[in-house]
Amino acid sequence: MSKRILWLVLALVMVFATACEPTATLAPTAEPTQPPAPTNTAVPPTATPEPALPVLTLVAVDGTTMEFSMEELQALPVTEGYGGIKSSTGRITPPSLFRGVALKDLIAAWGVMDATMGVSVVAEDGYAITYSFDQITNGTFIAYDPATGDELQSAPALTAIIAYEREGQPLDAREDGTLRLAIVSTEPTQVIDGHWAVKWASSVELKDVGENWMLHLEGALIVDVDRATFESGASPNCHMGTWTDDKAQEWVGIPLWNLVGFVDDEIKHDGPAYNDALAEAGYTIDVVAADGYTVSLDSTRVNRNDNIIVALTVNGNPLPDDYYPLRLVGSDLEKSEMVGMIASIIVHVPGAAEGGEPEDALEPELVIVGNVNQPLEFMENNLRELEVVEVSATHPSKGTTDTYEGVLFSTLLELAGLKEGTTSINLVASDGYAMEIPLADLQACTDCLLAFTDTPGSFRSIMPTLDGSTWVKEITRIEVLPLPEPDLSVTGMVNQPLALTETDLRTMDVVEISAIHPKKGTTDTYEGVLVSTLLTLAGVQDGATTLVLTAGDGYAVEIALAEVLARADCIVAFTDTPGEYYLVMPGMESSFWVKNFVSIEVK
Amino acid sequence: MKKSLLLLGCLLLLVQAGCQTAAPAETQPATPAVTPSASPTAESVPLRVFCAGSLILPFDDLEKAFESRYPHIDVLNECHGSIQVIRHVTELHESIDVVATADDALIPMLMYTAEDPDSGLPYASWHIQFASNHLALAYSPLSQYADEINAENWYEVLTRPGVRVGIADPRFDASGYRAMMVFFLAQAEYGQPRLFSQMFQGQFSYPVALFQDDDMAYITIPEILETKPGARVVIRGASIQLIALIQSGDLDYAFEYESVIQQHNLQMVSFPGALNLGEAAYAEQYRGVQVELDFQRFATVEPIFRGERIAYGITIPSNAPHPAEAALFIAFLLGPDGQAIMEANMQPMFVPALADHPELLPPALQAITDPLETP
Repeated sequence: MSKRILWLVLALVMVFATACEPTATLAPTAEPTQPPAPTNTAVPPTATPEPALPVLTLVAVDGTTMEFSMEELQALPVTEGYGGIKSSTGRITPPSLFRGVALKDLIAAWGVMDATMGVSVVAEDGYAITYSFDQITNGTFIAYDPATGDELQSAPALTAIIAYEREGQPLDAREDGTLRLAIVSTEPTQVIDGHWAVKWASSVELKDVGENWMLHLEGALIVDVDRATFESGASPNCHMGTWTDDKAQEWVGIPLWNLVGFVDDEIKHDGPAYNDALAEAGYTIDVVAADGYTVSLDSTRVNRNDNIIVALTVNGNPLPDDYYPLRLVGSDLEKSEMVGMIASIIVHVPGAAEGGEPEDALEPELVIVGNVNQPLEFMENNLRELEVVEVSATHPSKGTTDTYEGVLFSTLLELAGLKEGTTSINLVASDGYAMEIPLADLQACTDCLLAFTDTPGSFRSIMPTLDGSTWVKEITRIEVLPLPEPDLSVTGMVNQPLALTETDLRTMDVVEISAIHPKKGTTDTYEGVLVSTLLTLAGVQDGATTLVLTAGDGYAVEIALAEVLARADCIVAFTDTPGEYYLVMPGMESSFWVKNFVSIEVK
Repeated sequence: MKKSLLLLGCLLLLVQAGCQTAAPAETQPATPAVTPSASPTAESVPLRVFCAGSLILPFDDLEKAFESRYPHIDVLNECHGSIQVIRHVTELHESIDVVATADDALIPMLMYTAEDPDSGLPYASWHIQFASNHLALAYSPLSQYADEINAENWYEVLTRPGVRVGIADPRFDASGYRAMMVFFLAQAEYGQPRLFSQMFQGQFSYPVALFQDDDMAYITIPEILETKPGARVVIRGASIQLIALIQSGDLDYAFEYESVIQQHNLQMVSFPGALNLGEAAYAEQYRGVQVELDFQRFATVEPIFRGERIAYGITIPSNAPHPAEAALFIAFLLGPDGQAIMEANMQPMFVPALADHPELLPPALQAITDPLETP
């Protein structure tokens, strides 16, 4: 019950958050139907004597669910437009006007969706279709001309919606169900393949299509290796081992002895991770499947044997279900020993009978995190297994020229894989010092280097073509930063709604004003962008009379538009906190001076 | 084990040619796909015939010829994907007289096991295998290397840089996963063990994987099948949608059924019997590969498609309003006139047609069918 309330609150937040935005509606343009009511006037569901029946279940990646009644669904931001279908046999159902909730808006209630996820729309009878991130966010469907059925070379913007109305009426329960999926556009100029148009939709399930897993290693230490770490270890620059079977299928993974070396003694990464002496003395290694099936191998057989590997892929693809995620394979194994679905590897080294010590002492010396496909952790020896180069560089401020050894930033970033929207890289030192560098600058610097130093495990940046401030010592963390979320909006009766970051604001006409606080009586100087500049940029529509000024904590105050326009020095001032603003309204009472100012709605 | 293999075999052709739209995806209004050639009279009997998409053209001709012979019957053809055809009966409870699917196995799977709530009887208790097909490669004079490609070098031409190859989406269309089966079968046929990966590796955001065990090859289709930018493989929801792209030159080659290629006057590379999935002599070979969807698309149907010889099926639903006329229609299809029409449309027939439960057939059909021997 509490979860239901939480989701309702989320829904309401979405409503309020979007109520002052321009309508998400793909406005209908064609007759003959009566245009539906304006879509930006959605109201939160009101309490009813009887709880409304749920019509849609949302399922998050972790399995938590939330049920929506029709009223709750209709309280979400509205999208409407025209959608039709082309059947597999070529027959066209012409576009109709649908009204509903965009899937991307629905999913926004969870707050997270990225390219590793998909969205399944499931019908009442269990039929399901899964849409990709790209289809949900960018509408990348193949569309056809409704008149000819020919594929459109340039499709209009398409949006996938959970529709609850067709031509201004609730859906026909027998024909469509209570809800259905429709792919809509502003004009009735497209239809899409019928298989995408799921009828009788009853649930929307967010899926992580890049499933994670853990390999449990236990010996003198206990280490849980996640998928990303294993994949990194199985890369050509690391511990990759391969075996080609009698079907010419290539299996790729990590030799078992390398994994054993993680936990056979207390040295996981550094120096001689694998303890040859122990292996020669003899111990048993149990490779255990998820169902408990165990293959035991003697350490003398496994000892530095590259023909026994724990495979992650076959022919470049994840293993089939019977073996996923890992399988023991290799030319030095009998077929009966090739255990699949490996969940753990137990190394019975002396003193490890009761399990090793949880391994948490050896923190990685460098991490790459943030907007990447694969977060990475390194010890220096891991870095040295990558492509190490030497760069001769002159320090921009000291003027000294030296030769440095290390790994190019381009190599590291390629290994981590930058996600779309990456704008900058933050180099963070052990003392917390951080330097943000635009991605474009770093990419333009082909020999910028993460250099080794005389201190093992300590790294510094060598940035030959960049400013001296970017030469950072004792780097422990590389943060890949996405485009910042806009933190100031101008919406409502404007021609061009604005969603701005501080960077955006600082590229505008920035002014300084002095103003006396009406209550405190103090005079201060403020730097920022004039409210009038923002309103001019947004283009206030005729008939607008009022501004709603809102703070991040929900505080809101209304003021006459004319009153603001009459003052030339109302300013959205920058503060010491990036992305946080102070609305300074000289000559007006203090209630209009809004701290943590986030939005202007023009009414 | 045999039973489970049979079940897998039944599942093979779930998404037959033209069965791309499975309920409850968008359906069409129940109106005739083709206007009857003879004007129905007030006394005419409306005969609703639901057929698979790849039968559109032959059944169009069949309708005209049948109505000419029996003017008191107004045939109302409506074509869908095969699963959708059956769901119109079993889930939408529409009154349909004849059901013809591109996969005969769908009929026992979905109709024998579903009861008509009005009568308590299964929606069907028999079916007839009446036609087959072959998978082949369609192209046009505009296709790159059109003057070079042949039955010996097709697989090498398809992997040349810049050549664009169309395949129906294997999640929705049997010809799509059958095309992938062809690549696996071709590996053995041509001694090219990397052929499948040469064609498909790196083409999709989430990979299509082939894995071979000792006695079976498994092709796994991911839940999201999107080609990467610049991929040579072009995916469309239905194989019929690839035809226009071939004709326009936007696509060089596409995997299609031979009958469809010939009906559209395209050029064709025929595959040898070991690959085309249409030859009884190679049935065991076909069964060495299966395609699995890496997700559950239907609540009650396991998404596993076993390599099988292509077979079309036809039946009369137990709730058909006009069973006598329906039997007349099927008899006409299986008789000389129907055979001639199918032949003219390059659709190979089983002569005689094969019935799985001959004793349950209408008498008129018992006389013109042979028993189907199940493996």
